[in-house]
Amino acid sequence: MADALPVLTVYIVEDSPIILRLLSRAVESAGAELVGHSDNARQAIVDLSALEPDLILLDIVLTAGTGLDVLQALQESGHALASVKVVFTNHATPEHRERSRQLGAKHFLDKSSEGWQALELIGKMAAEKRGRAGRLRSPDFGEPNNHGGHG
Amino acid sequence: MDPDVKQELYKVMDALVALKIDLSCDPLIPGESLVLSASKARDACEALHSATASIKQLAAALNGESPGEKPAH
Repeated sequence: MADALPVLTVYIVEDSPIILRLLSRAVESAGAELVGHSDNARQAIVDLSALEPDLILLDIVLTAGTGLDVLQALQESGHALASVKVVFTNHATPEHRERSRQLGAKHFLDKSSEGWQALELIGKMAAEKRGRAGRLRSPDFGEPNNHGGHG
Repeated sequence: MDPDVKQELYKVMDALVALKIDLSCDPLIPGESLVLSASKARDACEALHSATASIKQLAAALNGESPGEKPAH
């Protein structure tokens, strides 16, 4: 029996329940797995040090601490180094953008104008993970393709 | 700026961001995709509720009223 394809694991650091629900729905729609979420920096650092998800979405302003605090703690501790970190914020200043980059964020998206890009990125990364896993499988051991095409 | 006012303003922004995405306002979304599911419609309503509640708080703060105070008629 073939193993199930691995799914993208996602953690969300966000203090707005509305945005959290929006992103959670996008994660679910993409076939990815939301492994956790937090509205404060301290809990996020604890969780992320253990979970090390594929993708971390971070707001900057949280109920306590900031998303930049989370990035800095992860960088200093060496945890979640392989995770793709995406800052998604209303505080899209050049200073925050540059600081996020220095602290290891791969993308910096402005909530007010780049919301769709955030959702597309989740979908793209989820598809890439499934595709990569599929390509790595040997035809001898892979799941038979009975569908005659790709979805 | 009063920190509560600033916080409320960002709540309004978050609600409007969610609303914009729920309503698929992005110009790249084709017309035939502009169908709102029940769950998205509920989320959109909640975003509107959150935004209007925050604006009410802001208006009260800017008028020097306490947050829960009823506006004078």
